[in-house]
Amino acid sequence: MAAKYREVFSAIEKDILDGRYNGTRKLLTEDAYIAEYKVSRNTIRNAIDLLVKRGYCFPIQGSGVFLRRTKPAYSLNLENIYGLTYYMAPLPVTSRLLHFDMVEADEDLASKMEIPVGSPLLYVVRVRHVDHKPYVYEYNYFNLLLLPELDEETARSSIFTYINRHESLQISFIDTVLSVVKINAEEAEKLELVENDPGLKIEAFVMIRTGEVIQLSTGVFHYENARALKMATYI
Amino acid sequence: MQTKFKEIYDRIEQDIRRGEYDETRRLKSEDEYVTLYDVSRVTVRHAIDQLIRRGYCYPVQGKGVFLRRHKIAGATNLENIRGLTYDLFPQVVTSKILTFQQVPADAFLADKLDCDVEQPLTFIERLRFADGQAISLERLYYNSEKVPLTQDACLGSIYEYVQSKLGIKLCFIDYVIEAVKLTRHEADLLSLCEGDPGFQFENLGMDRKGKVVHYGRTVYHYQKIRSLKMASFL
Repeated sequence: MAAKYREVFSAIEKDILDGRYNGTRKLLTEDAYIAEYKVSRNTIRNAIDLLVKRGYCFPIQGSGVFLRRTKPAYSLNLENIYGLTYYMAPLPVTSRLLHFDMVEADEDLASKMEIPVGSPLLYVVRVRHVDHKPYVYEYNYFNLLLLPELDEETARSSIFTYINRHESLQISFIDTVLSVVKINAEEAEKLELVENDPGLKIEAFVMIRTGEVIQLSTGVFHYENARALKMATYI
Repeated sequence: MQTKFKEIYDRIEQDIRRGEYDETRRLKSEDEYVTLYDVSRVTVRHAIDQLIRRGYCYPVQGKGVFLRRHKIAGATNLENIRGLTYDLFPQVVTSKILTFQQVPADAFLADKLDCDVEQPLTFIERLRFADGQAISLERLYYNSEKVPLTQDACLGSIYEYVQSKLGIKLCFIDYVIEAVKLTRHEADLLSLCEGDPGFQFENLGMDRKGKVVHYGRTVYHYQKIRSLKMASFL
């Protein structure tokens, strides 16, 4: 699915990273891009929308689309916390599987995921590295009520890709709760830190179109290697 | 001109926060709001769109607009920046100014505030309390020339003062959110220990032309504050 606007997005993204706009700190006009890429205005708009979403720039009515001043290294954009691999590119992202199990929802999980107590869940724990540095210790619960056809082999090899690609499981929105905690001994060991060091905790409720939670993902992020970005707009 | 829509938005938002829809978990129909508030359908739609964008609810085609599940009480909402006073209601938020002084911009601050090195800045350090307990330490820098502040103005909402009294429209705030280790100074003020976790928000406020209005860093008490971010995916 190499949509046209994706190509334009990638081309402009590359220009931003290469410093083409460092002088003006703003993107070209829609017209200029239409001429440059020979595509429709809609395509350009979609590409720019995506750049805005990814945190590269922000539109100001009547003045143009401005580049953000700084994008701190190894930062996670809260507008787009799914797909770390894609977001961090070209930095390498690796994951190491620590636990993989079928479990039943206890009361806490049942209430958070709005499913009956005892519902089947797939429990996946992994530690992820970005650019060879420990980045996040991640607990995932997948709602198997919504994934009845998932077989174990697929689950083991590519549960995340499976969900990403599955039409009817189209992820519609993700709500996140951010807080800071003291990390435990196990998290500390895998993140190469010390027990009780700070951790940025991001609890993500991943929902499909109907509002049902398909995945609850709790990440405890390395306090020195990771940070989150939020771009806010005033009314 | 946009006041009508804003008024409807505020009323529905308030009802959501007060738990009016906790039973049904969904908003009324457009028709019901049109009758209830005696406004046009366009106005109602605009208000509901805004509620969706702000993460309060989501539309399901053919079924209506449903409430999101997360309770907003007691957490700061990253989608809707209205300050602690609003987010932590009904807790009472107070401030104590620890520092209010003019400082020259060093290279770091000059870069953040997009001004010359040595440019006079107003530095404000204030401690904020919810129901009498310290919950955050704010450090803010304003370009003194562009944003003339008084110490009294810093007792309440500085954002509000800057907007309504100085006529500077704050349009965007960028945040970098991190977990940090508290310094001795921060820990003492928040009644924690040096090296304990801190929930830090670095923030950069901009006007509608993208010019920097302020740069600041706020450290929250990690046991007392959490934040919600409601994201929509496309």
